[in-house]
Amino acid sequence: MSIVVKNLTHIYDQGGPFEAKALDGVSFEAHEPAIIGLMGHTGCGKSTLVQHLNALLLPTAGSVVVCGIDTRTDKSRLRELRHRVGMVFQYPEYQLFEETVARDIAFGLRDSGLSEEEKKKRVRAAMEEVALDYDTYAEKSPFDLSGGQKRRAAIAGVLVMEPEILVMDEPAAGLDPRGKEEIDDIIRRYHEKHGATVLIVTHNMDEAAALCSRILVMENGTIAADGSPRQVFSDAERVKAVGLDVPYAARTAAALISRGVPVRPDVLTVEELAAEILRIKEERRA
Amino acid sequence: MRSTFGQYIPGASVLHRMDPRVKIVLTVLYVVAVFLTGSLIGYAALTAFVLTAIFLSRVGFGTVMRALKPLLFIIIFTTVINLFFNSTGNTVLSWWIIRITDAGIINALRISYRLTLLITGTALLTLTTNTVDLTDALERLLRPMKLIRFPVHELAMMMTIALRFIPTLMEETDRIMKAQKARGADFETGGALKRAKAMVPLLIPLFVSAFRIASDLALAMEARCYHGGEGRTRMKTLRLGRLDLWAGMAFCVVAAAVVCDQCGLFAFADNAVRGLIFPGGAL
Repeated sequence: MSIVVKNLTHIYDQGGPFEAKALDGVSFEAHEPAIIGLMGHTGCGKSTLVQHLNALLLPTAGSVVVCGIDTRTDKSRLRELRHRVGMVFQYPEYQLFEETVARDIAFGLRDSGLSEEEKKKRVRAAMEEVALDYDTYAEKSPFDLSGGQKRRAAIAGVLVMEPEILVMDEPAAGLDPRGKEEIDDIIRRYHEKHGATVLIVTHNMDEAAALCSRILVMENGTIAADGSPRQVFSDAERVKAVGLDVPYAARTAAALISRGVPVRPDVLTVEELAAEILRIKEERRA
Repeated sequence: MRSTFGQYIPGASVLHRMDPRVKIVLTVLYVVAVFLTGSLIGYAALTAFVLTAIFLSRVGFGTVMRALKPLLFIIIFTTVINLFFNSTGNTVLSWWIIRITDAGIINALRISYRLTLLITGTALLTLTTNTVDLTDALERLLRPMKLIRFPVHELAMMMTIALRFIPTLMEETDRIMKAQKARGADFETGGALKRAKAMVPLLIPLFVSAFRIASDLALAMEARCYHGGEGRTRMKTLRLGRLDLWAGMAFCVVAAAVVCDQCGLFAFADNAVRGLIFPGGAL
């Protein structure tokens, strides 16, 4: 389970009237299971990059090798690759089509060679992972679910294949805070239980800071920063230069420091900030 | 490479800035002229006109030529039909049941060139006019039809919306297709039945999306107090400018050449040219 992207360049409509270079010499590697955040301003090439990971797009130049499969040369293994790299697109609920939730989730297992019994087990497990009760929802029409439930059912349709690498393009877009938290829980749970690498495209700095152990920042089709959230967000100027912002807690910490409250300058999450404030309060009382 | 027929290529050329109404009228007249003429001089005049227009449009010669691609089959088909199934004129070549005559060759060339002129000329209209302008102009041009209670505005609005949502639905199709492919769907291999079945996971979400988009749009239009064409003013009023005058005049010259030619005024020149190509004097 590894991702090796080397000098990846992708040009849309090459030679046509709408030629556009979306990726320009992108290189990165990921070998250990981790939750990786992919961030960047709109149009920086995030979606183009993730679509290369399961060969929905092929490189114009450079190479993408995922799980030992080179997407450009190993054509016969693309089906296998698409099962090993699960891809959840933006607004995945728009891909639902079957008559029942269970059948829709099982769509990815059609040609897997599993017995009906095993398939049912996998569907049940996938629904459990996204916190949809099997007995209540399995036989319902996916179109009768609420927005958040539809989203989770669609995610289950990808998790059911038990991919080693899970790619999610803004999985929480358009959800309320509670819905967002539920998605984050799904990601964490899946990563821990299956030892999978999860790559999430997100605009939410707070989510990235709390969830990811590594962050890739893209700008104009290139990788602008690559490191732990603490490393990446420590350079607030740089982060702002690429059209992003530091997490809310980090901004609050900076404001507190400028007013003479000696909190640690590298806090990232609300929990860390709360602990810092409590610590200072305790010190002042003493 | 994809065909460019019906596509719009943004730009600020002379052709882009012309009044879309004038462009539509000239295109229609141009099509009439292409069908009217049958002589070399007529074709030469129209070729010169279309080449000048392509040059002025700045979309590139290759881009215009790529518009021919989807219709290449029809052009070749009609050419072949005319070549083999014309029994008038002198036989040039005969073998088995095939008899190729000089009249057949001329007819085949004429038809294929006529189609080429037709497609490049009309492609130029869509290449340089965006769909909003196009339907706007159409609505204005068809306005007299209102007298016979023809719903011009509604028709134009429907066209605008339909055209506007083609790229949206294409994008949606692409997105859903990719999402299902990522779940192991296979749209490319297998027999006709298997492929038709494979379309279900694509078509159902697409229909659902189309209805969702339509109802969102209807709601947005009502929220903005849309109530049909009655008493509706426009943000952009179309005005004729100097450019349109020049274009009209240029076309008048071409049209005059074609009409004079049809009336036989240039017969001497035409005969001279034909004499050069076919010394036997077939036609």
